[in-house]
Amino acid sequence: MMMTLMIPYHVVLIPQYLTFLQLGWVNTYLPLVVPRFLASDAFFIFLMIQFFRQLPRELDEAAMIDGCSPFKIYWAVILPLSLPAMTTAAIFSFIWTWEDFLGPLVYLNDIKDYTVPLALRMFLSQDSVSEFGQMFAMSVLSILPIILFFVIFQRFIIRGIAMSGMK
Amino acid sequence: MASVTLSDVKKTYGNVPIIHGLSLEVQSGEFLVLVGPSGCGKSTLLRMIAGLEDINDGVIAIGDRIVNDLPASQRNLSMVFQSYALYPHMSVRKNPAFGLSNLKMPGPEIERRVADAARILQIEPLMERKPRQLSGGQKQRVAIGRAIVREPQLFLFDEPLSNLDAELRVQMRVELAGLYQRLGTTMIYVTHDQTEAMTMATRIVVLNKGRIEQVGTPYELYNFPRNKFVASFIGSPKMNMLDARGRVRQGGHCGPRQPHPARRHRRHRPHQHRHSPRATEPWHIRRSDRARQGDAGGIPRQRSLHLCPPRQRADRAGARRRRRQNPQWRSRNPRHQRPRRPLFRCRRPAFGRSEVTGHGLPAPPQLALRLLQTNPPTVLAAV
Ligand SMILES: Nc1ncnc2c1ncn2[C@@H]1O[C@H](COP(=O)(O)OP(=O)(O)OP(=O)(O)O)[C@@H](O)[C@H]1O
Ligand SMILES: [Mg+2]
Repeated sequence: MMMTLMIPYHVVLIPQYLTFLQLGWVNTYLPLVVPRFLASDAFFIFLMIQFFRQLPRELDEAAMIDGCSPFKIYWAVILPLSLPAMTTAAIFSFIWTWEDFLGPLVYLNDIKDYTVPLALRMFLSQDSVSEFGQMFAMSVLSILPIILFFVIFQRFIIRGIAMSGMK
Repeated sequence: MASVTLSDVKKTYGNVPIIHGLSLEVQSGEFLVLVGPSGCGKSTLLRMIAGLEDINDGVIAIGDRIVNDLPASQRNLSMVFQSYALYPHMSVRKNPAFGLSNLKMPGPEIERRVADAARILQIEPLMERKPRQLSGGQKQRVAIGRAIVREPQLFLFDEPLSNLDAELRVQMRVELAGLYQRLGTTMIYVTHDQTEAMTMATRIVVLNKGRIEQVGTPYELYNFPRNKFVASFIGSPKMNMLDARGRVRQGGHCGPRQPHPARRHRRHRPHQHRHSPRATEPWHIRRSDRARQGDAGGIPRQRSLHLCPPRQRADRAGARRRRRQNPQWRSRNPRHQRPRRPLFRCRRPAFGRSEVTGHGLPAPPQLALRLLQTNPPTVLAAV
């Protein structure tokens, strides 16, 4: 899994493109969105594992004595506690998708489907004068959703991190 | 209530043996305390009984059921962890209820039991709080509450009070003892705290490196430790161990009170006896009248045990001088009064029982003195 984390995105880009081409997903948002929902980023797996590791083992054991099956332990004890890790994953996932440039560039062909980074890129033109003023204004606007998203979800991070059934 | 029987239980982590064939019988309704130095396998033992850790060999039975392969949840026991391990996302009410609802218990019954436990532990005002909003002692109570609502046959405690401050620990100790009185359930309790062990236990097990050193009532362990390890482990402050070679004379008081019959005829002849090792309390050490008179003393005669602070001895020497000049003179300083009772006398041979010759004469070559007032001991040159 370390390996998957280390392979550069650009290496898998072409095989991925071919796969999505066969699925008929090119020129839709699906290739950008679906893999994110499947947590295909090795980074998040490490994040979650690290988080699970720091949950005290006594919690599992207490739940075991309380008669939980392994799945029930996961569902009723571990999952509610991993809200902060999941929120972190969600925030990162959102930001990365939002500001992804290469992915949309490859998969989206239609100008009216372009994502924000692509659209921002259009302010820059090679031949005529670039309209920097408008571009920066748009840039500022484009980070607003991220800030909003962060503001909404950060309270879960902070709330969850106080692991306090423990001494 | 259930008894617990361990026979020849072994545990290894990887290649490292942790518990070496341990056998122990816990009677029903007993408050058994496990003590031992850090890393000796107390928690491991407890977790094996709980079913959180597999055993490599041997048999564990709870009641008359062999539980070797039974999962923790079916052993009908509750465990209180050192870290409490409360579910952080559940309220104080939900924490104990969670285990009960897993047992498919009807709601009203759950409510009744939780309410009962809350009343016993006096946590009723806290029921809607989350664990993070509780103090250490309150968390502790909730953890105990979670254990008692299941009404198990057996309670396991792994150093439950070690995270509390001294005052609260005393208070919780009293409450735990009260709980034990009320419930009468079998309890196995791991602790580092001597006082907890001595005051709460019906029996104490002293573990060392995965082996049992001695099992006995607190009284037995304190007064009749079976070996040097137990003698030095039990009791606070620690018992002093001296390497000493005493001489026993008949009538001397380092040796047994009853002289060995074979030696009786050698009255007043010093007897090289490489031994006279004692584990003893200060109140067991008194100087005999004879010794004080400089006659036939055992240890005191050797002037090597000065159990009084030097100052006091000097004063008393001064008083003696004064009195020699004037026989009527009496010091009014109470510290100058001769103790009515003899000051030193090693009285109770406390360990080495197995090697006792029939007259309470133990063999290991140490003299062990437990001195409460002198720490570090001012005393204690070897004879
Ligand atoms: N999961 C594990 N893997 C390997 N070794 C372990 C494991 N758990 C415990 N040990 C070892 O087993 C021995 C006994 O550990 P245990 O936790 O039972 O000690 P303890 O008597 O409870 O000590 P303490 O009083 O410090 O809690 C220790 O030497 C420890 O290093
Ligand atoms: Mg331990």
